[in-house]
Amino acid sequence: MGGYVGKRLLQAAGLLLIVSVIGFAILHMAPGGPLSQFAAGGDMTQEDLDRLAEQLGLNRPLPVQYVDWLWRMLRGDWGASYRDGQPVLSVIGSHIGATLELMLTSTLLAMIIGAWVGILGAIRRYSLFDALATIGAMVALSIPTFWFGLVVIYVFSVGLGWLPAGNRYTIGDESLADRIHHLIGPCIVLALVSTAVWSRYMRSSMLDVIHQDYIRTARSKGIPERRILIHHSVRNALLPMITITGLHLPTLLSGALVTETVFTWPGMGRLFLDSISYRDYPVVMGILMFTAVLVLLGSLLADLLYHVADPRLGAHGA
Amino acid sequence: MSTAAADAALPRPARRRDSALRRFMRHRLAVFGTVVIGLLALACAVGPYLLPFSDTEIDIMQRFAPPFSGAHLLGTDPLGRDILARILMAGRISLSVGFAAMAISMVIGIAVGLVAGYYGGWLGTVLMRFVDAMLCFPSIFLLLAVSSLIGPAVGSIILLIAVTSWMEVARIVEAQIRALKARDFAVAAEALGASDARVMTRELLPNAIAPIVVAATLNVAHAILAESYISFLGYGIQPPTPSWGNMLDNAQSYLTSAPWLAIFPGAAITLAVTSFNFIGDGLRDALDPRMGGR
Repeated sequence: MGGYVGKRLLQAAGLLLIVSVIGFAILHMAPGGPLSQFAAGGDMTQEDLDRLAEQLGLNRPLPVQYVDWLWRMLRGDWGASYRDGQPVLSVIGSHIGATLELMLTSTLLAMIIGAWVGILGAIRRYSLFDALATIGAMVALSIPTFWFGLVVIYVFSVGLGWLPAGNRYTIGDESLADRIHHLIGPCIVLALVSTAVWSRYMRSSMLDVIHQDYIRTARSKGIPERRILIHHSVRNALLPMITITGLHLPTLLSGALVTETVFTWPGMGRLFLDSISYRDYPVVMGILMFTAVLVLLGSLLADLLYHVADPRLGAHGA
Repeated sequence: MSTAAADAALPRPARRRDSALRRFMRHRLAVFGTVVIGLLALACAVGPYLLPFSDTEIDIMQRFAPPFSGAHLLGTDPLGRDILARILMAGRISLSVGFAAMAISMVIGIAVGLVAGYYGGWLGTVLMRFVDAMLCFPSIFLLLAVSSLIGPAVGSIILLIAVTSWMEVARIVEAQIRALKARDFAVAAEALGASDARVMTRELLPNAIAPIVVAATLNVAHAILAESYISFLGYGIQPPTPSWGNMLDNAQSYLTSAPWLAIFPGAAITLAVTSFNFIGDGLRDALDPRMGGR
């Protein structure tokens, strides 16, 4: 177990290094590189720009600049926003809460519905329900999230008037009920793809489990079918879902960006888009790196949790 | 090199395709998807010539005409342009972007997967870790970050989608090649003095074709979706060139007064993407029953 954790941590550290190289490369693709803000402003001459480049060490060889940049990133110095001069990390920090709120609630919703659909589909394999669930999941994976968002707003906000069309709360009224009321729409929209993913994986995981020997043994011992289902099948079938949740994180983050845009939800995704339209590259790059690190840590955590949760894997590591 | 060893290992193409076709036809959703894509492609190709309106014809007197009511079958947009004509022209762009981006991403993915799987060692490790690292970036964030740095021409959008969607293919190909290169026919080909490139492209790759074809189909779906996302967010295909995504760009502001602006292009995207996903699923069952996984 300890060996596995160490190996996995080392792998993650190596991956983080490659991620940082890719991030650095994209940063230097920006027109004018890190000086784009001043170059775009137009009120600096080329000589001024050159002098600034020398001051900031931008005329040094790229590898030296990279090491310098990486060292600053590791110390938490991610640069400052062009817009208001605030440190990038604190700008991200003030928006991450809204995104996490949306991601966690929609994941919870997706887990509950997806698991149910998957379990029922596996038990009643090839039934009408199973067929509809399969088709439904496929369609759900094909619907553009932003379009589904527009449809939800059109039906529930414009048409029925049940839900607010956007924002995180009504200004002046920040009660819990008001917040939940605002959360329902974006939560459903973001949960659509996750629910489809969960139901598919849950179904196949469940099918794997119910054909195992220990299920047949339990049945032959006369354990009631209901108990077998809950205590033996579902519990074991849920285990691989830990990994799936980790793997699904990048898709979830992408979905959150789009959902936040449609519902004017003040999270990290909207911040990212706003920063792009302001050409606020430090924040854009900061969020890009932040999400990559989040994904990396998410999959690491999922892997480690899976190993803790499944004692069968502990002994032989990978 | 048509050695007996290599020939024996290769499946009989004719018979295999025959039975695969039959398996594919049994997959009703896949057949449905194929028919839909065929009709959609046909409509986009010839439709604009048959309509009385062009996609750029502005008719301010007819703006916001609702669908199914007058001369404009699917209604008109804020400039009075015919929605149906625009959807068909946009379909040309969106479908072409989807196919072109898929083709480029397949080339990159297959090349990386082949080299990594065949040579293995430190080269394979470095390549595959690079794939892992690329997959850490959520795709929309990566697409938007890079699209804000490059020009919004159709060509650069295609390249952008391709360079952010080849990684899954590389993984699939690498795993296939790594497994196949230990098989007798590959070892025999090598022993007979075939060059690395020849073993890779003539012996190994044809045997890994089934998962590659499936991945290619799913990649078209992915590319069409990716284009619609970045165009919807304003960083993809730029107006006046219509794409399914950028037709939706302004639709949100008119959601109350003219919901059809949002409904039809979105339905077109969903229809096309669903169809490609159905086809991919059907191909998976048809080409390699073991890959089904359920």
